[in-house]
Amino acid sequence: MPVAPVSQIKASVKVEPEEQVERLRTLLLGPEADQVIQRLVEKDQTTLVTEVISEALEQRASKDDSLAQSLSSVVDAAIDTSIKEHPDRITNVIFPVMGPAIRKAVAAALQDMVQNLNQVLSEGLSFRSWRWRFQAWRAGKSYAEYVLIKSLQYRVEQVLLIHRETGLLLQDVCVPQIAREDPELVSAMLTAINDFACDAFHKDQQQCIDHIRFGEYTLIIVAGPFAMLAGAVRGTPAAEVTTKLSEIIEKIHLDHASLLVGFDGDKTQLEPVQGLLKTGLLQKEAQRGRSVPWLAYGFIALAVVGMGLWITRTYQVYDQQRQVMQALEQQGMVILDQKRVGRSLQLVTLRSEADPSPQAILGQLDLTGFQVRVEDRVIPVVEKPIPVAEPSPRQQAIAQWQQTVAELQGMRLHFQSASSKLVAEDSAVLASMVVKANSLADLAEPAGVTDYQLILTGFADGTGNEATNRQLSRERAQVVFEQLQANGVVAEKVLLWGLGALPASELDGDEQRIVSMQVLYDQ
Amino acid sequence: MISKKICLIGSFAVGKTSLVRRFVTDGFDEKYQTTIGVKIDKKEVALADQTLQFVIWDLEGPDEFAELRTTYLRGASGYFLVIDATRPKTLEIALSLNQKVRETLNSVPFLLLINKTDLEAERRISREELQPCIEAGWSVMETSAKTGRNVEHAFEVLAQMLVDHAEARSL
Repeated sequence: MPVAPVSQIKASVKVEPEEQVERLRTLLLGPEADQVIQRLVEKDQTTLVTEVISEALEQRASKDDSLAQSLSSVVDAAIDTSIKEHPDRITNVIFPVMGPAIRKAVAAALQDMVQNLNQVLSEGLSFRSWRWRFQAWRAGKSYAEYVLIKSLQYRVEQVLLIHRETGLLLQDVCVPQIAREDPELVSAMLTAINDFACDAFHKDQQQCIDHIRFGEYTLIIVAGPFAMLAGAVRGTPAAEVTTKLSEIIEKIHLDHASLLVGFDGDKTQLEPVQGLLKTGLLQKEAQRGRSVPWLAYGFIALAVVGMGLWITRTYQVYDQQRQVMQALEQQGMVILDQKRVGRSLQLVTLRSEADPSPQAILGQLDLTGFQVRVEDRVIPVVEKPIPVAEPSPRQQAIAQWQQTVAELQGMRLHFQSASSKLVAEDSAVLASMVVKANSLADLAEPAGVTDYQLILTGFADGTGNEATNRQLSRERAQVVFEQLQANGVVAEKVLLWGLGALPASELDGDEQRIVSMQVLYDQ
Repeated sequence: MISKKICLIGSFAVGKTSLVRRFVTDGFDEKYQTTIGVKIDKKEVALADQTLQFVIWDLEGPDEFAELRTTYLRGASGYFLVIDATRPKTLEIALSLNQKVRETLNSVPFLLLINKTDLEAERRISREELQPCIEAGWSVMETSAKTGRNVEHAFEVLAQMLVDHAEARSL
């Protein structure tokens, strides 16, 4: 398609320049040109902001706190969310910090403890500490309070923020554990004093008393247009206290001027200044040379040596006392009483006349430096026969019966080999047996024996056969029986039998060829 | 809690200190002790919807030797003007004092207290004599620090007046 020259178009169509540009843009970019351009602009703005945001934030932050205040709530919320959703992550992040922090805190606590111990030793045992104790006692103060007074150059114990016009207390702070007057009344009274001073000396009401001294306290007052600050200082305050209080009152006026101007009695609005007021509770220790407390160390050394000596000596005394008691008791003495006073032991002993004296026993011990005094009580030895009860006639008869029976049962009558002939040596035994057997008849009744029986048992050695041996042993018993009967023993009282040879007997042959007697009785 | 400074003003020996003692400690002492300068006490007053803390400045009563120190009035939110019912002169002095006070404090609530009303037989100020004050819009109340009559009530009324005054100013 043929295109007309531009000059011709211009000539044929008369169009405004802006409209021409618009047409051209539509031709080039299409009907959505506006939207495309808008997107490009937006994109460009984002890029622009990205490039300058850091510098912009930095600049704003250097101007005032508004950026930090604006971001604080956002950052707080972000941290809260992060901790809730990823608690492990925050743990991992702070872990490298926590370990060293804890170690540092423990080390600091230990260091404090050692320092305190050092201080207690050096302060507690020095001349100065005893002098202070005495002076505290005279002044009617506690030692701790007195030490504080002496060891501090100054301490700001209370800071009062007072509304100048009304004299009402706005806020106050004080160090812990001090007795203080009602701050409301103090602030009002302080205002009254100031008003009186201004009134009395025709000063401008804006002028103010700058300090009041009473006893060990100094009241430092710094005033602003709407409020004043009063610091109660114990000791001798340095210029830095006034400077600090001035800084605080200036800061309070800067931050809370509108509240102070329109103060309606509601002091809760000024609670945020508490932190600032606390920075005014300054204190400074008095400068002292750090000398080595030789006296304290010497005292401790002496105490340790003395204690060691005392323990050693006490143990020695105890050991010597133990030796004395042990030696006396081993010799059979009874300790009736003992009392030790220091290195002297008093004893009361009881012993038999036959036993050695305590002095003799103690003489054998090493009791250097240990004194023993003994009250020796002796029991005389009296030899007296032990009284024995006289046996009754019946007991005597029983004993005689039992003795006779035992003698009879112990008799052995030996026979010649393969014979019923008694060996010659035992004739006397047989005679004795006869006599004793006869005596049983007389002894039985007194001894309470109602009946008795004599049993004669004959034995043979093992040389013959069994029948022969049995016969021979019976014959031997018969021999004895006949002798008994012939000499008056009642025949019915005697039983006899022959047992032959004892099987497996280890006795000699002479000892096997015997007759023995057993006595059976009923009592 | 809102704190307010209030003052007690009046001629000497009208019973200002006794009123404060009756209010703060519920006590009374027949022996007269003159106040030198100012004596300060505090007490809370409970109203229906809030509690006020009064810091009470009991000012030395002016006499032929001493004038009222108006510097002590600075910042007061209200005051009591106290007179002695047995001494007509104290009313005159009170009226004079009030003018001075108004110059210092402008328009703050106050209450005129006719004290020592327990001494009825010795009363020298009639109610008719007080009529001009009432017509002028003053709040007037009869009290007795000795018996405690109306003392606590007077402080409550002043407290309510301070609250109303503050609300009116904030509108």
